[in-house]
Amino acid sequence: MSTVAQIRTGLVTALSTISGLNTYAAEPGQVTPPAAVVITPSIEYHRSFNSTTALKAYTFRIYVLVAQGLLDEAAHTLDTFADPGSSTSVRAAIETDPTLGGVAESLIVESFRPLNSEEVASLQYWGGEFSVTVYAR
Amino acid sequence: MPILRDCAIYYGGYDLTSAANEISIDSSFATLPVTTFADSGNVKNIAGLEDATVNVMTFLEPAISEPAITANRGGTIELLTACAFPTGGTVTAGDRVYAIRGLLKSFKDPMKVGDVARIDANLEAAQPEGLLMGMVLSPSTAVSASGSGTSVSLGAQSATQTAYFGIHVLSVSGNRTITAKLQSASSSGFGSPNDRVTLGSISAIGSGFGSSTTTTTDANWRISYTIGGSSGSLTFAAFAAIQ
Repeated sequence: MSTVAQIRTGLVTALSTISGLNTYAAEPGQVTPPAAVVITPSIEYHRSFNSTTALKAYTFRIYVLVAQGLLDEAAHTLDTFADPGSSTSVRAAIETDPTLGGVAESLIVESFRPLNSEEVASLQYWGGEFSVTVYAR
Repeated sequence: MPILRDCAIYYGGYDLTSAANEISIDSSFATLPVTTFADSGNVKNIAGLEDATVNVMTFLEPAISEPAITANRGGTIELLTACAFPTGGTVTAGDRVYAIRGLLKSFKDPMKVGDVARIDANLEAAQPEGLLMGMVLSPSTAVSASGSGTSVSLGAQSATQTAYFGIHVLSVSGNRTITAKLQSASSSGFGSPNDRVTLGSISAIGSGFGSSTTTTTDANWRISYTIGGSSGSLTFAAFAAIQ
């Protein structure tokens, strides 16, 4: 069985393959953009029978923060992280190994959305949020 | 009111427990009208033939649920056992089971982008015993030496009843074999066990099933097994039912 920490580490390892992207396995006090921060997931337990080895669905939010303000360059950078076909694609980096080195059964990057103005004001960074569902036991 | 978390499901030589997230066991009787003029204007019915079906919903596990289901296409009749409410979340000897020797009537492999792959099966009772309600004699257990299971109080077997015995061999390593017997005894200590059903030797994953119509007042039942071979281990689960 895999732990949340192992899965989170697997995601960080996948994200670290993106050139120039700083990765954080937990919510840091301060980040150096461009940065990816893997947030504690929501979890659906008991997706199959057997309490010990039941399949679980972990929904991770990954914040990708590109700059302390909306600049043209920041928007362009965020575009490339969100673009599934770019060389810095977050989706491609994560889905390259759906087992995250053997700790997950499978995963899918479900969605991306840009942060809204309130979130940007709160976080002090411009960026976006990826939603990743990881299935593991 | 139990919350279902740990239903153990065995289908032939496969343990579907961790791959499955839903199972439905359905039994129905045909109703045969036997109303006469003397029935005061009310309909009167009697029970006809019983029809039992089992629907299992699983995630498509390439090494478990997919071969378990697709291998039984084409009219194969295979034993399926489901432990309904395991004691304390762990399948234990004496827990209630349903069992069916079912024909794989249909299966579904729904595919939708972004969803977890699934494969669902529908089995229909295909042998005279229909749907069995019995008890676990042994939860899934890995063994490498001969032995016996825990005594369970299944009760006596009357002249109108049959004792049924089923085993699932879920993994085999090395050259192990198992010869399983259903035994009964008058006391739970099994000082003088009586052999009731003896199955043939099993050397690969799969199932075994047998029955006995010999009546007994013995109320205690267990599995006794002889392990053959010189290396490896073997994992099995077993049940019995009287009806």
